[in-house]
Amino acid sequence: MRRLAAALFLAATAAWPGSAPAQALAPLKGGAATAPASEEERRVWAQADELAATLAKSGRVLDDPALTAYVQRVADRLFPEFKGHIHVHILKAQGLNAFALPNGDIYLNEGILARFRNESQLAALLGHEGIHFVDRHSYQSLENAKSTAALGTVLAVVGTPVVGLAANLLAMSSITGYSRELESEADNLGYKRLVAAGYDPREAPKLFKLLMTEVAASGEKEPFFFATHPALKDRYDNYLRLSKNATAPKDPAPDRYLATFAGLRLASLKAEVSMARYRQVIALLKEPERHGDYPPYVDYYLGEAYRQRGEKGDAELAKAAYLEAIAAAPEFALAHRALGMQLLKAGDYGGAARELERYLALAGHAADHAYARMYLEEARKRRDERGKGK
Amino acid sequence: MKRLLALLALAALLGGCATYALTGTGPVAGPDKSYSVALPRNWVRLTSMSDRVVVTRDGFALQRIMITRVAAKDAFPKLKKPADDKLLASELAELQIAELKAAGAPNLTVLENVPARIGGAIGFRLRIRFLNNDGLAFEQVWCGVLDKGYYYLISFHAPELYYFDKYLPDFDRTLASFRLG
Repeated sequence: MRRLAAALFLAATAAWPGSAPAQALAPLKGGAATAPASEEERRVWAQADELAATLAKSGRVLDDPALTAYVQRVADRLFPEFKGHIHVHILKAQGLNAFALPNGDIYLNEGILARFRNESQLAALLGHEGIHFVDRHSYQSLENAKSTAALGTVLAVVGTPVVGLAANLLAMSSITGYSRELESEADNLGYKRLVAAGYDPREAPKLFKLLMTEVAASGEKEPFFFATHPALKDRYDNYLRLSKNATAPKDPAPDRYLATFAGLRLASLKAEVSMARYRQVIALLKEPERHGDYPPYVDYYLGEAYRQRGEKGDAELAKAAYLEAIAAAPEFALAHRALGMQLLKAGDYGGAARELERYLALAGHAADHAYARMYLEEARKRRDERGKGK
Repeated sequence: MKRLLALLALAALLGGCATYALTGTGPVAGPDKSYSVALPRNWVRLTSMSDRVVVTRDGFALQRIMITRVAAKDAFPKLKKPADDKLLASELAELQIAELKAAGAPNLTVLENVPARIGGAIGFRLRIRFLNNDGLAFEQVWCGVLDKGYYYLISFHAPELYYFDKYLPDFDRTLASFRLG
């Protein structure tokens, strides 16, 4: 099957009309001169437009004008001469990823925005992705999209095959990363943009450090933005070297980013729990600094992640986390429900009944109240049976 | 009748080795007689897949009812998680939602998630909604239950426009007829 997929892929790549450009192309100039330089490149941009339209139609793009305007403002500050040509979108996806299409559309996953702690970290990412557009990396790299594994990664990002084969190949080169040289170029030139725009350059390596920690904890392969070439560690070292003697410009509102993205951060955490991405959730919330970025009841989500993992000792960790959440926010209903279910499974029927009653008192009209009532009935029945037995 | 002939002709052209049969009135048995179910009459059943029951009236993309049975250890292949018999019904439903998200519908919306008696055992009933790549809305109902080391799923899939509401009663009758062996 793999051989068949490889043969189909290579045949398709050979048929790609833009598979010729191997030489380095001059960067786009910005302003009114921002346009495809050839008929081939025009076709590539048209495919990018098609891919962007499909993403919009499929409901995968977050419809939040305020947050989209925020990330757009950062991109415009980094690339002022490309204002109106670079369009930043937020994807409703949790993987730590971002990609730029050759037409100037840049996509950032909710998941990666939820990990940033300040605007400079966002700027480091946008600087990198913007350079992929400005230096026409996607167009140059189409012929390099040779890995059949890339198809799997594209599908992981955008779901089912999005549009025609040509656009899928385009998505592959854009999403799965570029050659070592092009990625390094994007890192270095993106860093220069970051400095020129007045962001704190010392935040760039921190971003990589945070992501390395989470990738290691999750046991997953490195995400695409931090794709295999160069390795994440090499890129961290490179940013560290670049920013070694950097000084921090004065930021008049250092907490602006955290405050603006508080809602998205929590929504992303809930989405990760709903997708059973428990390794990522545990890695995230075990970091005290990150833990503090969430509301007081965040330990409920940590408890859910332990419960989902289900390894030896996790039931106790989950219970402890639920109790922490209740201590921090006694009115937070979901923690009572979760604790009640945990106690029911552990055979503490009296405790289960108490917590489930509390949950229903706090959230009796919640969508899942039918489950809670069923569990409460069972807990009471078993508690009473046990009482009679004594 | 014309509709059926056209569907069968199309299926024969496109289906390769797939084989089809018209559903009758009596109950149908699942693999190893592990369950029985009464299917909607005069629908078309895909008979080439022995591990599941799949039927449609107008085409598999327009409406389909599917019944599957897998070993509990293989219940959630995308998540690489088993269905443990210690799981509560809501936990089973939660894993099914995560599995569907991992299988290509990451932004699905859960419209309903309630406990349900399936074939005599307590399980769950989920109703979800999602958009395909063309922005067309689909709805699905997933009813799941664990029994004797197997995970049973009875599902209904249709476009939201026209087909879902029209054929949901057929699905509900099918579900009500489902009996574990």
